[in-house]
Amino acid sequence: MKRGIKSKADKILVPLAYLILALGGFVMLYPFIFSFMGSLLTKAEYLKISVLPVPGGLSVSRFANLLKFFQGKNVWTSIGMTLLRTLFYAFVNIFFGVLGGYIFAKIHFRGRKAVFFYFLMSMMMPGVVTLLPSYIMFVRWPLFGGNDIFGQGGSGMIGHWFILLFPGWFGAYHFFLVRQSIFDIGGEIGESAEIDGAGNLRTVFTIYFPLLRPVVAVMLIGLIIGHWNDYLFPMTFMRATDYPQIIPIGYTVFNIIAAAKGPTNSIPDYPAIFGICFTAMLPPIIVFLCLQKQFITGLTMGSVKG
Amino acid sequence: MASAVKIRSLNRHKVRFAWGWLIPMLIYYTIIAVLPIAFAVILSFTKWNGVRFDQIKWVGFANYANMFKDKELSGMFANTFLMGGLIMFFTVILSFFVALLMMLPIKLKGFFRTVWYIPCVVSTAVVSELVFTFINPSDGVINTILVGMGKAPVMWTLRPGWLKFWIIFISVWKGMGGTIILFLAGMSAVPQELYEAGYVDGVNKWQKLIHITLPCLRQMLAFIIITSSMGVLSIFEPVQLIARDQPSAMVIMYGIYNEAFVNFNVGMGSAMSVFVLALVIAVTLLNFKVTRIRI
Repeated sequence: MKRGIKSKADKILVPLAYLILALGGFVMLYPFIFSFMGSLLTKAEYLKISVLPVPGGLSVSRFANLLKFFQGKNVWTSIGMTLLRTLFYAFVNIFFGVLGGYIFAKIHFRGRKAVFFYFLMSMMMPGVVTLLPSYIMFVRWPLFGGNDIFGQGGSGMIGHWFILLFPGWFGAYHFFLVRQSIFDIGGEIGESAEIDGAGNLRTVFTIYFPLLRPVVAVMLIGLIIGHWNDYLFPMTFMRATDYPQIIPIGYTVFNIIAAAKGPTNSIPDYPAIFGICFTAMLPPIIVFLCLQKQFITGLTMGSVKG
Repeated sequence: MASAVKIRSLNRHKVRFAWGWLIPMLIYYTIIAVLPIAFAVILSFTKWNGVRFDQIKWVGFANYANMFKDKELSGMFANTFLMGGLIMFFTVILSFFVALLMMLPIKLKGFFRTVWYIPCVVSTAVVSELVFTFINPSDGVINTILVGMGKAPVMWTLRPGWLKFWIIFISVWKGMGGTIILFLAGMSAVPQELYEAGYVDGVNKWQKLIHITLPCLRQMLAFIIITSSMGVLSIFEPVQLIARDQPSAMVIMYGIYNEAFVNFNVGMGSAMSVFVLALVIAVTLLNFKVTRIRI
């Protein structure tokens, strides 16, 4: 829409746009600005808090609240588990995602449509549908966590570390993204290698994989952010557990906040809570700021063709 | 001749490769994703506390009947649809206008896009907790300020209207970034020739918007509405962390959670899940119609 000459309407609209985008942008960033500034306050200053808190002075000790997150109980093991889990899921999801996408894009066999449709069915299932059914299956899983062969007697996979790595090895959405990218690459790239007798797996991972880097980045980002923020899954599946130290960080942060709140009826240490929240929100924002382009590709990739 | 044979054997080899991987994947997927839903359908006709199989009692359609008779449960559906509808309405309208502003010849477009998108990447739960500390009636930030100014505190979380307002506010705040980017993608994909033709015909900005941009965005709009309707059906964190146990803002997801994990009424929880499943299937079929997902 670069036309060089600005129309009359633009003369009014452009300044208005700046104003609205800047004001709205401030609203978008407000919780981050507020929780950062709020964490610098002392407990006494909090009682005179304003919409935009300004600390009464600046000293190194005032930044201590920002580090409270890392002093929480089990925080390091929890972060470690979250990273391990992300790494594991990144590996299996990318492996199966690229493999499945290749199979559905490049290999023709009877029943392909039916199988693809069967996988896609689950793609659109929101958590509201699957939460309870999968809980029941995992809690009554036979011969696991004290259960007998009929799934009775114990608590199955609930609360066991295994549940953190067992479901969700691949998603139909990834097949769909990879398949689309292979169509977009087009051509007969793999063919010559196949004639040369390279195995199928080798064709996929040495020839296609490097070309699929953008879509792999999209998958990776989704997994990193999703696992860091994951709250409902650990809350449901790890609530009662013998391994409280490995509850993923998305839920552990609430245990840390609860500790800062102290017992009911006492006045919570609000500046500490702001600091914990701010630090917990920071990692996904940093990942996003570093990899913006891939985020936007990822968002538009799965949508309609413009 | 020889090469044709080779290609055919190569193809057979590939098909074997495909099934060799697909069969274990299908088994895993069936167990993890499909079987639980089948169980839920069966359990929705029973009364069960979720522990011993010999205590499962067959009750026919009683759960489904109660779901609409029980005031609290039908209220959850009403709340979900009301708040979900409002969330979608405000997210779509506001995002559309912001995207339009970003399409104007402004500098810092990338910067604004980044800023508006940041809420999308942070944890809904942490943001909800933060908002709760803000509006907490006893010692939250807003009331501390109000009291400091000598005004009466507002019972934000105890008034049904305010409670709904804050839940809708957080969800719109969090959902706009992604929707803006989708609208921007749709707007940039409008063929330039259409605008040029309009320019030649001397249309003004308003006419351009109504007659060129909007019709071209129809498909994208359908996609946005369908995907966000899936999202609002499972809204949970803001309700759990802000509304706590107040019936005035209870939603389906919270109801399922409560029935299953607090009241140990797995039958009713399953019936609610299955009812939402039926809704979701309808929306999904619609989704296949409008998106790029072609089989």
